Amino acid sequence: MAAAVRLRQRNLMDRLLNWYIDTVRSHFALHGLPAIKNPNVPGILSDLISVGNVLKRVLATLCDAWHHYMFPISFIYADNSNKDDMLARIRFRHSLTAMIDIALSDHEFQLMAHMLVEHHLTACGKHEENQMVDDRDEAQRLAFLAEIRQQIDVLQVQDRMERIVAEVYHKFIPRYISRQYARIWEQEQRAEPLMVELKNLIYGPITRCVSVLIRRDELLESRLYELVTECLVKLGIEEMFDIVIYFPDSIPALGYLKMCLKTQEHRAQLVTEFQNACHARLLHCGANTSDIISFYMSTIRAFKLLEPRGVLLDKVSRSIRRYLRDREDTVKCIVNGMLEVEDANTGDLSELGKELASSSGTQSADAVDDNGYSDMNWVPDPIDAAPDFRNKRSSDFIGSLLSLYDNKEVFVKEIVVVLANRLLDLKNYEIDREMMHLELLKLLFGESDLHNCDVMVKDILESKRVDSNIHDPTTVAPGTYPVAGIVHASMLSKLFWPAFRDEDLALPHVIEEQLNRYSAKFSILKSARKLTWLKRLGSVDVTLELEDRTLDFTVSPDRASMIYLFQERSTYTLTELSARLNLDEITTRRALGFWIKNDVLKEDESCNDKFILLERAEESKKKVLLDDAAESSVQTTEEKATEEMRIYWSYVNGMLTNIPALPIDRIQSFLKMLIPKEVGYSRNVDELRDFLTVMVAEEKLEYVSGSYRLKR
Amino acid sequence: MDSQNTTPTTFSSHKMQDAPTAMADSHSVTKRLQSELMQLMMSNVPGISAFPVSDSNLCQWTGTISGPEGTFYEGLTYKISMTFPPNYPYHAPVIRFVSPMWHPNVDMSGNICLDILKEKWSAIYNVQTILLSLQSLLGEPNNASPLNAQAADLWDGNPAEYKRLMMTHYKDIGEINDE
Repeated sequence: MAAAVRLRQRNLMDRLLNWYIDTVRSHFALHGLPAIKNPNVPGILSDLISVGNVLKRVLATLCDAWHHYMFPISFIYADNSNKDDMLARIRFRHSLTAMIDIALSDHEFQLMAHMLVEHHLTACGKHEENQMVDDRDEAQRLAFLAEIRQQIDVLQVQDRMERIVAEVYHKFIPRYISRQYARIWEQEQRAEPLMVELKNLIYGPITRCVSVLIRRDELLESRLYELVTECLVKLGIEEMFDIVIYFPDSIPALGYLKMCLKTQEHRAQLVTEFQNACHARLLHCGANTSDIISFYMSTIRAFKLLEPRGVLLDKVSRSIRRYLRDREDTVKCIVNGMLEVEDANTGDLSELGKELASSSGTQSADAVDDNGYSDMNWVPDPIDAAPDFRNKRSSDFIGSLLSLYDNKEVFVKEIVVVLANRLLDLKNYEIDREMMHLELLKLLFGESDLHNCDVMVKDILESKRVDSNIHDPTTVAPGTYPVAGIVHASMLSKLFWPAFRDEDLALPHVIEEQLNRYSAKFSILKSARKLTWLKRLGSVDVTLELEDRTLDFTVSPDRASMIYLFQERSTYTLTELSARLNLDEITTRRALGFWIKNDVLKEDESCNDKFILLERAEESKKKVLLDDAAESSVQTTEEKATEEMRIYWSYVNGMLTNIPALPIDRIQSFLKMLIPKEVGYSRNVDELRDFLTVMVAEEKLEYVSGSYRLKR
Repeated sequence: MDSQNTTPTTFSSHKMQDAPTAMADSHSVTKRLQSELMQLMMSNVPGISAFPVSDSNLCQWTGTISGPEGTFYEGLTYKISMTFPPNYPYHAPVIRFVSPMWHPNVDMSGNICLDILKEKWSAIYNVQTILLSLQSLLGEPNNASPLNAQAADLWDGNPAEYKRLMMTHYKDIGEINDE
């Protein structure tokens, strides 16, 4: 019976609780919710302090409600020893918490809480920036947050608050880092001190601020620290391209990136991001080849610093290398750089020359041990290394550049051309610099390949001797005239020099006369030898004495001869000039362009192709348009390539005349086998295919069922 | 002329006995043929052409000769084969017409009677001169020592019949290649 009463009573109590819960809910919906809704929210949101106050008021209202609703329960179910009472209390509290939680899930509250937390975190950041802001300020803020925390505790909505706080600091820290540290590479703060600074910030104000708001746990600090590291890596990955551009000023930035870059994921991301940046910002036709090369050099150095093994470098440099290989003037730029030629078109890569000078001698020593058998510190390649990754010599970018192409021949050819030009441009037979360069290059390419260059240098040395002999007044044979001291010649061994442009030029009579005397004297000195003059090569010092000014120039012979003609009379037409000089019109025009640009000649306005000497300087209205890029006196490599292709074509033609149809690999092996070494055939199948495709397009060949045949 | 025609054994006889130098000799043949090919390719004389049959053996060539203008053979092309001996250029290459050739100095199997390929061979001749000689032989046969007597007779006697018979033998180079 007693059990039945208790049961009934319990049933009654349950019903009472259910009723009470329902009542509380409807009361809260009717009175509580409107009370915490703030009609002025949009207005106050601009003011952070009032946001704090509103938030506090909302929470206070909720706390009041909490206490009010809780009050009846706490004495109806007051018996702590009664299990049913305890359960009822818990149930009611759950229901209440759920209710309040729903109330707090309101958008406005979320927004305000976010703003509040963010405001305090920002204050932490500012605090770090400016130590002058006194600690009282921080204490005040912490006290305020502590109040909020108390209310949160009462309402038992810590979970919600924690989520908000976490969301905010996940947003805040990356933003803070990118604002504070983005695009700063030069300063030391990117490395060790940066980490210290950040640690101070995290362990100091931020942790204090966050741990006031939420339950403190041990992992908080380490989690914050991880977050910071992650942000820094991301920042570094995004900025890698710029870091490389500003290398070596950006070394500190690399230091910290190296510290943070640990996971495979980040490494992969770095590679992709960097490659994308390269494609977007560098590897397009708007970039100068020299810029790409110097960027490549910086890339090599930067990535070697980042990861001495070179796995990342290997990956990121692939696309750059592939692109460089497709560029036509890559070889030229590299060679000019190595020889420290300053050329407006190829840009300045003299760094290469310095590197060449400093790295000399290390090359051959390293080459012996390619497999690293004798390396006691050998470790396997990292897991993300590409299958064909080979550990290259540390930061040796000359080697890297040379390995762009399968064979070094392309470089050797270009070196010969550049060196020939350099030697021909010399005036005093001073070849110390060239000899030094040549010796350095020999270390790279080996003696035998640069044999021609040796001969060229020797030619110049010999020329110096012969020239001084010719000018020696004691050797003047009776009855002959001495050669004027202004004429100096270089005697070249034709076979060893690159092909010259064999174009003629009519020199002024006085000069011809001197050249003949020179030849005569030469034939006496070196009996049975005769000089063949290359009149287009060389340089002339010219002094122009005009009515109102005197001008000095160092120009090519054709330009000098041209201006000499204007000594006779002051106007010429283009055709007259080209006939007198024995030059084609294009070259004549180019020479004219030079003088017009220097305000010595002008084109007659009334009559085209008529040129007048400007005895008196006048304001020139329009400058000439023809580029007067210094013409190379020897065949450039491109011209040589065209020439070679002409040879290959006659072979292909002969081949297919006699053998009706051939597949490409047979043609390739024929060419490889049959073309003498002196001419050389170094194309690969793909290049040959390109060439044959052009021939097919020109209807010289046809491509039928896998074989090429002559088009009849 | 005789001294050019014989292998210069007088001053290199000791060489000929060593095995290694035999190789060096074959190398020099290759080199010589290579440079002759280069010369031929570069000079690009119309109507004559020749090329090695395979890249592994430079001593076997195939050639093409077009009949010179103003002769019976004008507008026709003939295929020949050239085989160079290992001691070339001290010995003449063996040359045959691969295309059927109806000509006073060529027999039915393509063998050629030309003095410079036989007793008058000299090391100063090369592929290009041989081809040019063959081409001119088409227009100016040596009817005094014919291999094809009928052709020699008709050459002067009955040009129309000569042309007719010659054409019955002619095969276009495309057909020969297809065989």
